[in-house]
Amino acid sequence: MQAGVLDRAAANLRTPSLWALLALSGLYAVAVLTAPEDAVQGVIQKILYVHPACAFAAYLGFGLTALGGALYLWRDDEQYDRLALASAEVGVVFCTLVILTGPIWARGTWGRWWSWDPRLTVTLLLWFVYLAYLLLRSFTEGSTRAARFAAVYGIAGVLAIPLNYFAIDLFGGRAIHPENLGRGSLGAGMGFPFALGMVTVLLAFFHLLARRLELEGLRAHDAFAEPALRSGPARAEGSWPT
Amino acid sequence: MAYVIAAYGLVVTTLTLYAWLLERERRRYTSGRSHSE
Repeated sequence: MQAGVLDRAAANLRTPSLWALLALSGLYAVAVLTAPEDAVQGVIQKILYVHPACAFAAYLGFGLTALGGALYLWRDDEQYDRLALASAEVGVVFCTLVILTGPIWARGTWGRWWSWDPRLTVTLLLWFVYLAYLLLRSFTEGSTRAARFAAVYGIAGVLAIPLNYFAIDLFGGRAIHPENLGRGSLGAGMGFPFALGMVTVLLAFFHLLARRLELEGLRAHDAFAEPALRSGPARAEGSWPT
Repeated sequence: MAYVIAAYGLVVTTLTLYAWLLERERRRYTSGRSHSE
């Protein structure tokens, strides 16, 4: 198996992106700590600097899953299938963080952990859609037919992203989740930590994606190699490491 | 303040743990390869 351009890029980006992430994280922490407190919500509003950023990282992961799936169907090149799988997994990690940080914020402001609000419900649906994608891939590992089916599934699943983003507009008065941020909707001094949070979380996304993509390339290389040359840790048990 | 610490702590811990798991898995593959090739 030849390493694709994506595999080489992932291996090359792993270390530089980690250093950039560590440097930016320090600046991000200072920006969050020194950001002004919200007049209505108080200090809990600082969750704003991480919660939507994780949501955008999840959107990006699921968008790349669809893109990778489409390129795989078009070019029949397995590196795009690996991109789709790696993006879905990293996207699910960030979507999990959205589902965990949201209720913490809700508990402090609404007084309850969860509400079947349209935005929250569609976020949970989005999480289940891509969790099912990962389960499908883990049950059918190595199957070309399953990879093609997963590509179509990943493309169809991406339709839940605009539904999630515009859920509050679509369901109008039934939503208690705050509206999407617009230009000028943040208070004075809140724009910089918000933007820095976006950049830092997206950099974390790309760093983790590079690591996950590199690992998927190693697994594929291992599966392609002769049995005597295989280096994977779980080959004796006849299964892939999870 | 406890809610804010919980939210950020959860994010940092989860991402660090995930990165550590990926690194551990990568090392298992690369160390196995250096022995066999």
